[in-house]
Amino acid sequence: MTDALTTVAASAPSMALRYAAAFFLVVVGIGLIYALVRAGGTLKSADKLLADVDGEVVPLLKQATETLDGLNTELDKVDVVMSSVVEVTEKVDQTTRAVESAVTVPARKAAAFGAGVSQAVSSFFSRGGDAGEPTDEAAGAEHAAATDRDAAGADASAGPRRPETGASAATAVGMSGHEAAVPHEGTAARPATPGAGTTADTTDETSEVSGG
Amino acid sequence: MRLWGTLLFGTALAGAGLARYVRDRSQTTGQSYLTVLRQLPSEARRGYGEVRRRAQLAVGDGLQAARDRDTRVDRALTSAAPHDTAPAS
Repeated sequence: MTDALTTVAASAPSMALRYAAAFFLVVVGIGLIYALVRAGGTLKSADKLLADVDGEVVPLLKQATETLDGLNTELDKVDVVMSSVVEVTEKVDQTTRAVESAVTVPARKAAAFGAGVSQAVSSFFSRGGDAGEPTDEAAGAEHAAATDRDAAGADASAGPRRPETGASAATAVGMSGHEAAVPHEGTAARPATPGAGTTADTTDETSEVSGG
Repeated sequence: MRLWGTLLFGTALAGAGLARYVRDRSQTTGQSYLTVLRQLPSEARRGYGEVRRRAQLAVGDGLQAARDRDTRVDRALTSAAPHDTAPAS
């Protein structure tokens, strides 16, 4: 009996711990059941939500795919159109350049030709006043030379020929006083016909003196 | 007949021109007609040389003026041409 009481006395704390553990396990089990029930409800809601999203997103994705396909098709067409536009632009640019060169070059040549002809005509006729008709002074000098020549002709017929000065010889053949002072002015400017003026003038003078 | 008529007309025309020239020259210089006629070849040579000299100078001036105008037009067209200012990508 004593041993039984000793055993009971010795195992009393152990029994209390066991009851406490059993109670704890029961409470934990109840909590777990509650948590699992709530988690099941949440998962059910999530499953429903996913089902709804799946039912709505898939058609949207199909529509987006179709839209992108159409957009790609339109972009291909735009690419073709842009290629054509680039080709047309290049052709227009080439045509513009051709027209520009076809118009500009003759215009430049015509302008240059017109300016050249105008300047040449102006220069030709502006120089005509310098060495054209003899002036009154030159006419007077020629008249004096003619008088000297007539006198020289009379002297030649009467006796030996009187030598003439350079100025009178020059004026006797139609040269002005300025030309007589600068005898080689004309010949220096006329290298293609050397002596066409002075030599011929001298020849004419000689023939004139001998003849008249 | 037509040839002879043309020749006759041309000769008359040339003679009239020559007579007018001799008369004007005689009145201008006071020389006799014979003197003017004797000086006619030298005057012709002198006139020919003068015209040739003036023609050469005029041709030179014309060429220079044409070059200047061409240069000015070229410069104007170059300055008026559009320039590529877009940055290269």
